[in-house]
This record gives sequence, structure tokens and C-alpha cells, in this order.
Amino acid sequence: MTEHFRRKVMKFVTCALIVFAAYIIQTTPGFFEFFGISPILVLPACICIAVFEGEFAGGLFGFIMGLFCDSASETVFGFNALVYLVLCVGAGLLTIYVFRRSTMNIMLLCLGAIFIRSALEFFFSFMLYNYEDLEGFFYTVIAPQIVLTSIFSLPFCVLFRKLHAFFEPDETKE
Amino acid sequence: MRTMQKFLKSWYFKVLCALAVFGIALMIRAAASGSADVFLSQAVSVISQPFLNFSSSVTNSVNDFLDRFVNAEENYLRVRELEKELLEANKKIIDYDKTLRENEQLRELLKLKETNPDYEFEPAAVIGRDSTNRFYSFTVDVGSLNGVEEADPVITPDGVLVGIVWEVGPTYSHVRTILDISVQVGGYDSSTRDSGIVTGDITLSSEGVCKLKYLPKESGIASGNIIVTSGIGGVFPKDLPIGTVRSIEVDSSGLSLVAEIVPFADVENITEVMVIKSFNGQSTGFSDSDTAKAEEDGENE
Repeated sequence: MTEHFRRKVMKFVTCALIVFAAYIIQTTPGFFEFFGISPILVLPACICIAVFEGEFAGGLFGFIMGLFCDSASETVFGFNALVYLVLCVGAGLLTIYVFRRSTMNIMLLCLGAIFIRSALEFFFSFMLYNYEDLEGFFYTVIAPQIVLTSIFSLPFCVLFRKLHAFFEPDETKE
Repeated sequence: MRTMQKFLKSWYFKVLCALAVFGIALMIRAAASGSADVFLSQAVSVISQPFLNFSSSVTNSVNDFLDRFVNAEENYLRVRELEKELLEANKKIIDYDKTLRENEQLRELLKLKETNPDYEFEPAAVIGRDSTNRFYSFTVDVGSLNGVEEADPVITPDGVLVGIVWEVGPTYSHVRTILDISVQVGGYDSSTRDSGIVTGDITLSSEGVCKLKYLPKESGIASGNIIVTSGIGGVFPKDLPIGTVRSIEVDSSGLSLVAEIVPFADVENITEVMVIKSFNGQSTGFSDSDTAKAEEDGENE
């Protein structure tokens, strides 16, 4: 086993532990709530992995953690897995071809991703069923959740940047 | 830098596409069957459940701890509210006990009414006792506003003689018991029909015993005989049970017998009584033959 391979394994194990911890924190009732709203922590974490470790790793993490989120949510099983996969691959590719890896760009990517995910859920789980007072629901539940998740994408951005720098010092220097 | 075309041709892209197709298939299956893929969801649950359980228990402990400080004001108000509720509940319990007691009294009253239809009763509760009085006199919660008058007989709810109303206030009455030396009740032995006067005795009252005086020397009275009221004088109704004979001896003058009577009523501890406001043959006020209020009042002074 080469040193490079060993470092890679360590890096992805650490990433997996962080994302899993984010999932546990996100899913535990009452643990991370602000005025009754819980941020979605798994998606920004996976987006950050996609940004720093590439679209394939991000997509893989997104898909697996999406399955975890599906098992804990009431959406159709597979919804989060598919959406997280697409969003993470998209974020990874955008970082490669369009954006730089600046903190602001990553936060914007997270905001866009969480907005798309929430909008899709809102459309498929609520709007299609034509529930009453959907506008109120969007402004009081969905929108604050998007804002809160965007704010919490900052610590993930910092964490994964440091992690990447620690395990890939040569690449970071370039 | 890789080109997009290179990515689209790479095995990464193929794997990601396969995952996407797999995801779509999962969704279609879940939407069609109305439930999640059992194997996958169970596998995910098996992995995450222990961590979630641990996390939940930690969260609950932390939340419980923080709740003491964060919601201190709310908890304080809640405690106040609960204290008020407790007070109301206690009041209700007191009302309930009172109602229960009244119910029991009324049942006894009904029995007494059936056997003595001429009696007019007033149920009463003992609300005070003079701790310095050696004859166990007490105060009840009924008075002239309830129609109670001086010299009305006082009995237990089961019809046993306790004493007599001595003083009457608007809402209370003082009762002297049959252990009191100032109370004299005409009584007779229900077996031998020998009559005498039941009254208290300074030395015997501490034992809760009274005396039946002026019995004929040739009386056949014996221990265990039952003494009841004679009704002479019209202060007490006839045949109210008083007590049983404990012992008999010749009086100091040697002319008559004196019997020690153990009252049926637990005079020292009684809490509920009935005042007989009227009965057939009742006289008004104190009669010389039944009581010696005036004389004893003079002696007490």
C-alpha cells in the first residue's frame, strides 16, 4: 500500500465520519433546532466533498447519504439519493469548469443546491397535492430552512478545505 | 484540467449514471408499491439506528438539563399554576370528605328516623374541645340559627346518648357530656326496670365512666346490664341507650346502690353527633329532675 493510497483512504474515511456525524445531528430530534427549524446538514457536507474531492466522490457520498436521508424522511424512497447525486455531481463539475473554490462560491453552490432540493420537495410533496396555505408554509418552514442550511454550509466549507489541505498538501500548493 | 468530454467518456460518469438510474428505479418502485425498498431501508436503519439512539439519549439529557435554565421562568409559572390547581383539588377533596361524612350521617339519621319518627334531628360536627375540661365537653357547629335550643339532647349518629346542649350561640353550641357531674339523666336498668340518676363523677370521668345513683338497695341490677334513659322530666327521650353496668356498690349513706356505667358513646373522641331538636313529650329548658345546671353552675363558680 503506497503512502498516497493510504492518505486517500484516511481522507475518505474522515469525510465519511463527518458526513455521518452531520446526518446523526440532523436527524436527532431536538438536537439542532432553531425556533423549531432544523438545517439540512448532509447536503452542504456532500457539496463540499464534491467541491474539494471531485464530482465522483461527491456524487457517491451524495447518493449514499441521500439513501440515509430517505430512510429518515417521508419523501419517496430514492428521492434524496437521486437529488443529492445530481446536485453533488453538478457542484463538482461547476467547480472544475466554472467556479473557483472560494468560500463565497462554495456557499453559493450550497445555497443553490439546498434551494433546488427544497423546491423539488416542495413541488412534489406539497404543491402537487394542492394543500391549503402553501405560501405560508413555504415562508415559515422551507425558506428559513434554506437560509439556516446556507449559514451552516460555512463551517463545512472551512472543515473540508482544511481536511483537503491536510491530506493533499501538494495539490493545495498548486 | 480535464475537459467535459473526457469526463463524459470516463468510467466515473458511467458509474454515476448507473447510480442515477438506480435512484430513479428506487423512486419508481417506492411510488408504485407505496413503501420503501425493504432491504435498503433496513440496511440503512441497522447502520444508523445505534448512533441515533445514542444521540437521542444524549440530546434528551442535555435538553432536560438546559430546560431548567432556559425555561426557568416558564417552569416557575407552571409550578405556580399547578400549586393553584392543587389548592383547588384539595378544596374539592375537603368538600368531598364533608359530603361523604354528611352522607354517612344522613344514612344513620334515616335509620334513627325510622325507629323514632317523632324525633327532629340536626346533624352536627364537633369543632372544638376544651382541653382543660375533665368531663370532655365540646362545641358543635350548630346553634340557634339551626333551631338548636338549650337542653336539647345530643346523641351519636347511631342513637346513643352523648350529653346535652348547655349553651347556645347563633352558629355554635356547647355540649356537656354524660361524664359531667353537672349533667343528670334519668335512667333505668333495661333488665330489672330499676331506675336512678345517671351522672358524672370527678374520679371516674378520667376513665370515661359515669355513675347510676339512687338505685333501690334491693335492686337486682348486675354487671353487664344495659342502662337506658327513662324520659322522666321530658329533657331526654325515653329508651336512649346510655351504657353498660361495670360494677355495683352500696352508696356511702348505706341507703341505696350506686352502679358504675361504661357509656356506649366514645365521649372522648367523638367527632359527629346529632342534636335532637324535638321529640314527643319534650319539655322546654332544663328540668330539675333531669339536670342540675343551676346547682352545678354555683358549685363550679
